[in-house]
Amino acid sequence: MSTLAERLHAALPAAHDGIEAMARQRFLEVGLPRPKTEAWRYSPMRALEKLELAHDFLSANAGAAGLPGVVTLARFAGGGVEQAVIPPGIELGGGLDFDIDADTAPALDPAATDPTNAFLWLNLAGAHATLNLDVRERVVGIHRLVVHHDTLGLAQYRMRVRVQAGASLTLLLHHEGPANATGLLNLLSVIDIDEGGELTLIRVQEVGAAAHLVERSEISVSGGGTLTLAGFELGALWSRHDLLVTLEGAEGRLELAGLVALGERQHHDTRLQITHAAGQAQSETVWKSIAGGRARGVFGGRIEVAAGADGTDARLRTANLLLSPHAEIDARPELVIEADEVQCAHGATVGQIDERALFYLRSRGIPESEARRMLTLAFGGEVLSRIADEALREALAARVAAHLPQG
Amino acid sequence: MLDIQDLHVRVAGKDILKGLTLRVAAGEVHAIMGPNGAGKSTLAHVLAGREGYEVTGGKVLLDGLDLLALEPEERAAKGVFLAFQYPVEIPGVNNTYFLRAALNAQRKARGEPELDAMQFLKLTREKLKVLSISDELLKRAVNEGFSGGEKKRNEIFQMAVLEPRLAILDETDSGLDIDALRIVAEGVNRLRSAERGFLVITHYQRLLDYIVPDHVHVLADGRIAESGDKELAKELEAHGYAWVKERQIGAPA
Ligand SMILES: Nc1ncnc2c1ncn2[C@@H]1O[C@H](COP(=O)(O)OP(=O)(O)OP(=O)(O)O)[C@@H](O)[C@H]1O
Ligand SMILES: [Mg+2]
Repeated sequence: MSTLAERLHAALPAAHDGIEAMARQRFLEVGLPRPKTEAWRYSPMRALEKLELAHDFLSANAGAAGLPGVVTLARFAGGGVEQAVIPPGIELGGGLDFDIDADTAPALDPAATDPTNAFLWLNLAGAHATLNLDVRERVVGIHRLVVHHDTLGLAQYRMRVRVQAGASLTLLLHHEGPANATGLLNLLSVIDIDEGGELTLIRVQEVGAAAHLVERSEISVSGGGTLTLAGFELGALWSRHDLLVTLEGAEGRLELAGLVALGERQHHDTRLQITHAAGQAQSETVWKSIAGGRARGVFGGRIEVAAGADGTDARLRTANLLLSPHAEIDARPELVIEADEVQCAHGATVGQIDERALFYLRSRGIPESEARRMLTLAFGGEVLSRIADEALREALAARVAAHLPQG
Repeated sequence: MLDIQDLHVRVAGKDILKGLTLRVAAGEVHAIMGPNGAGKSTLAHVLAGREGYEVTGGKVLLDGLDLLALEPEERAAKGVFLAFQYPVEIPGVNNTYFLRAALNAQRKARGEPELDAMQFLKLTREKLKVLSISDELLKRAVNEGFSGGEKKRNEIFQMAVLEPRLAILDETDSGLDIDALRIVAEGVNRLRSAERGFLVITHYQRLLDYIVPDHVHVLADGRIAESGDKELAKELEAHGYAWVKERQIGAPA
């Protein structure tokens, strides 16, 4: 049988320009991460090696139920992207442009960002579809982009989001898909928040239970810009998300919250890297993981304060809940400080359900399984509470509850 | 109603209850007093079904049913309620949500219809007033950041809502100021009925001025060492527990 790299290469659509041909070549030269490749140590390629990568997409699928009060802009599915039908009576926020066949390649050059990353070259070598979202004003409401994972082979998409100076948007990035989609989705997003721009990003990853996902998000925040993230990693059999956020200017603000819920044999690895490239900026991160069954969660949270980024205020906290003796969570916060007069703090805890709390609930008549669910959901409550919109928060709480491992 | 027969309990390899026998009839209030470490909370926890207690002998019947064979939630549905000596803080679980879930779980287990949010609100409103609990506390997470007295009042509030058959109050009076003590006692007295039994664990005779017990027991060295009426509590207050010991030694074999 051919190697995984060969099969991925074979799964690419025909190259239609020189950039793609070059990227193919680079992909093969760089090669997939090896067991000793530090950045992929906790997510070895073993899990992907048995993928057959058939060329098929599953036939049209309705996808996840809608979310209240949310306007869907576009949907990636079946190796393409389509503009959603905007229901009558609902208007897109003014100042929002999007282009679903944008040529985003030049902005997504792996040579400039991470030249040893094979998945980046792979994405450049043949993304099925790209989308460009340009936010020019303060946009009201919650807008959604859907990524529908419906492949048995390889699907690759790209998106580029730009929030212009002083503009703002709440964007829900919703990954979903059917339970029988076994293939690999390779996603790349590049997001720029210009001076004073504000992006509230709600990320709900609930692709099907057999799916594989490799994703990279590169976000840069200019001076005075704000990124608020509430991320939920619920789906996929095997998933990896590289989340790289850079504070490029003074008075930039990051508020990041993540909730990972894994059961059975799920594997998820988030590698978060926050770079304080400029001083006088703030970042606050809380990342929580829940693992039951034989699941494995990995979180690498690295804060880098560059030389000269004086007056940085950076905090990162990770808390983890193990529901089963066979589940495993590796959470590693890391601080690299090269500037002066910074305030940085990080901490990590790993624990189990509080037996005293469990008994308290049961002693009031709540059955054990329900009591465990209540306590597990309560653990994630801190992340859910970041969703300002009440109807959406409640809908997401129900989604999270539905994905919670039983133990 | 509650029939504890020759109960032996071991905790962490240590014998704590060593042949405790106690019978509570419906409608009665039994006070249990006794020195620190005597096993009062152990008894309360064993009745409520907490893990970590090894019953090495004896049995406990509630209305003729083998209580020790039931899960904690099944006991609750049968009417056992424990007001904890140290109520647990549960961040992230809303107090109202929790209590409604508890009441409905019990009702469901008993085959009774569940209460919707409006019905529940109506039920709680009146009980809140009796216990002088502000509904602000109900909007918070279970016991989170509650003062000691607020936690105890919340226990009694839960009891008032759940209307148990057997209420076990483990030092509910500890940490209460004088007014709160009166309010809590008033809450308990309102629930006294011919259908309900109480085990009131306390160190202080003062509580028993407000909640007048039918029987007072001294739990010492893992057994009921002495039983009497409310006058026994006064004697204890005056003479201390050594007095019980002396009487036992002095008593004819
Ligand atoms: N989990 C445990 N591990 C070890 N010893 C325990 C445990 N739980 C209780 N004990 C011991 O059992 C004995 C009885 O404890 P218990 O809490 O029942 O006493 P109590 O009568 O309620 O005391 P107090 O009046 O101080 O509340 C004590 O000596 C206590 O240290
Ligand atoms: Mg005690």
